[in-house]
Amino acid sequence: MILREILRKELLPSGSLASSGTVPDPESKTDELRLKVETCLSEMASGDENALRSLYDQIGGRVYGYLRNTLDNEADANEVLQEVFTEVWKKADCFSERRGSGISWIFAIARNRSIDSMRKSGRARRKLERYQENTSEAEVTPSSDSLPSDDVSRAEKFQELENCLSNLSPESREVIQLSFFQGLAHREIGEKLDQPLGTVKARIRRGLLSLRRSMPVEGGSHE
Amino acid sequence: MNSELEDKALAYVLGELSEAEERSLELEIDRSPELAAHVRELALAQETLFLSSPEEQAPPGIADAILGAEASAHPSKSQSTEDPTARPDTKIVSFWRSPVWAAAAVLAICAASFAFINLRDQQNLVEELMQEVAEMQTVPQSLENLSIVTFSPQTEDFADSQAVALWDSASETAYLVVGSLPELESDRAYQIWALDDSQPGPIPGDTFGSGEEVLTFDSFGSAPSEGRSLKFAVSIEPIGGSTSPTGPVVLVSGEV
Repeated sequence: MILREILRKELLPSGSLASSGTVPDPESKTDELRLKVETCLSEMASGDENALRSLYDQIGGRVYGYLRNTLDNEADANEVLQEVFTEVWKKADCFSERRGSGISWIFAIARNRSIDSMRKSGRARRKLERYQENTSEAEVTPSSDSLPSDDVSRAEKFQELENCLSNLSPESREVIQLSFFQGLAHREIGEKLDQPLGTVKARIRRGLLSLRRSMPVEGGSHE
Repeated sequence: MNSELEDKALAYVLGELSEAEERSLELEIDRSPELAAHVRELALAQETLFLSSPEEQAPPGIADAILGAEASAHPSKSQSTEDPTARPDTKIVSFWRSPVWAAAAVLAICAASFAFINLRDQQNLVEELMQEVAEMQTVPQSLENLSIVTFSPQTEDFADSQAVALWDSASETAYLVVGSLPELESDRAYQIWALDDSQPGPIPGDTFGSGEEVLTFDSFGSAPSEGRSLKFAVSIEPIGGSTSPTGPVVLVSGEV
C-alpha cells in the first residue's frame, strides 16, 4: 500500500491533503512532538479513542508538570489535568493549523482551566498577595509542596525555564510569569500592578515574540 | 496590523475568544498571511514557554477515566450498532469514512486498479473511481475539496497507460498517479506540466520514470478560477527535466 503511506505523510490535522505543499520532515524534538500531537488531535477529531491515550502518553507529563507548578496542590492538579484532557477530547475537531501549534492549544486550555480552578478556591488572590510580598525581582518560585525533595534536581528542572525567561525584559518577564505560571488573568495582573489592561497584553505579546527571536534556530521552529 | 487585531490574535492563541470570535478571526487569518504568521509566532512562543516547564510523571488512567465517564453518560452508545468510538457531540465518522482513510482508500483503489489493467476496460475503471470519489465527497467535509481528472493519451504508444490526478482545491495541490508507462531510453524521463491558459507557458513539475508513481505537484502558483482553466500534461524530456517542454507531449488531462 505504497499510495496509502504517501498519503498519510501528506495529511495534516485540517483533514485536507497538504495545505501548504509537502510536509517538512521534523528536524527537532519539538517539531516531532508537535507533529505527533497534531496527528493525535486529527485522529481524535474522528473519534479515535486510542489517539486520546496516545496524546496523553505524549504530552500528559508536560501538562501535569505545568499544572503542578501553577496550582501548588497535587489534588487540584490531578483534577484539572482530567478536565484539560476531557476538553481536548471533546474539542479536538476545533483545532486547526491556523492556531499555529497543537501543543500551544492544549496548554492554553490547561492555563485557562488552572485559572478557573484557582478562582474557585481563592488561590489566585493569595498567590498575587504572596507575589507582592516577595522582592521586586520576580522569580519562578513554586510552592514547597510541589517541589521535588532533591534540591539539585529541582534546580536542574527549573533551569530550562529560568533560561527561557531570562531572555525577556524585566517588564515582560514579570507579566508572563504572573499570567502563565501564577495563573492570573490579565485584568487581575493589571489591577495589582497598576497597569492598564492594554499594557499588560502588549507586554505579554512583546515578551512572547521576544522569546521566539531569542531561541536558537532549529529546523522548522523559525520561519 | 492594527493593535485591535494584535489583541485578538493574542486572545486567540491564549484561548480567550468565544467560538463566534474565533470563527471571525479565522476568516481573517485565511485572508491575511501576515496575521497567520503572527498567530503562529505567538503560538510557537507559548509552546516554547510551556515546554520549558519541568515535566512530571502524569497520573495513569486519565484517558481511560475520560472515556469511561463518556460511556457512562451515554450508555446506549455501547449497545448500539453505531461506531463505538464516536463522540456524542460530533457526527459519527466511521473508520472507512474518516478523512484520512477515505482519501487513502480512494488512491489505494487506484493502485489496485493498476494490477488489473490487462483484465479490465480502462475507461470503465476510471469511471468507477470517479464515481466512488463523487460518492465520498457528499459525506465527509474534507473530501469536498477533492476531484479527480483523467489523462488522455496523445499517441498510440500510450494508449494503455494509466494516469489520473487527484486535485485538492483547498491546498491547490495535485497528486499525480501514473502507471504502465512505456519504458524510456536511459537519458530520458517523463515530466509533469501544469497548463494554465492565463500563464505565458507550461509550468514545469517533477520528472519521473515509467514505474508506478505518485507525485505531488504544488507551489506552481496557479489554480483554476472563473474564466481560467487548469490542465496537466506529461511530456518526455531529458533526464533532469526542462524548464519548458522540448519533447513530445504524451498525456494530457481534462480540466480541473
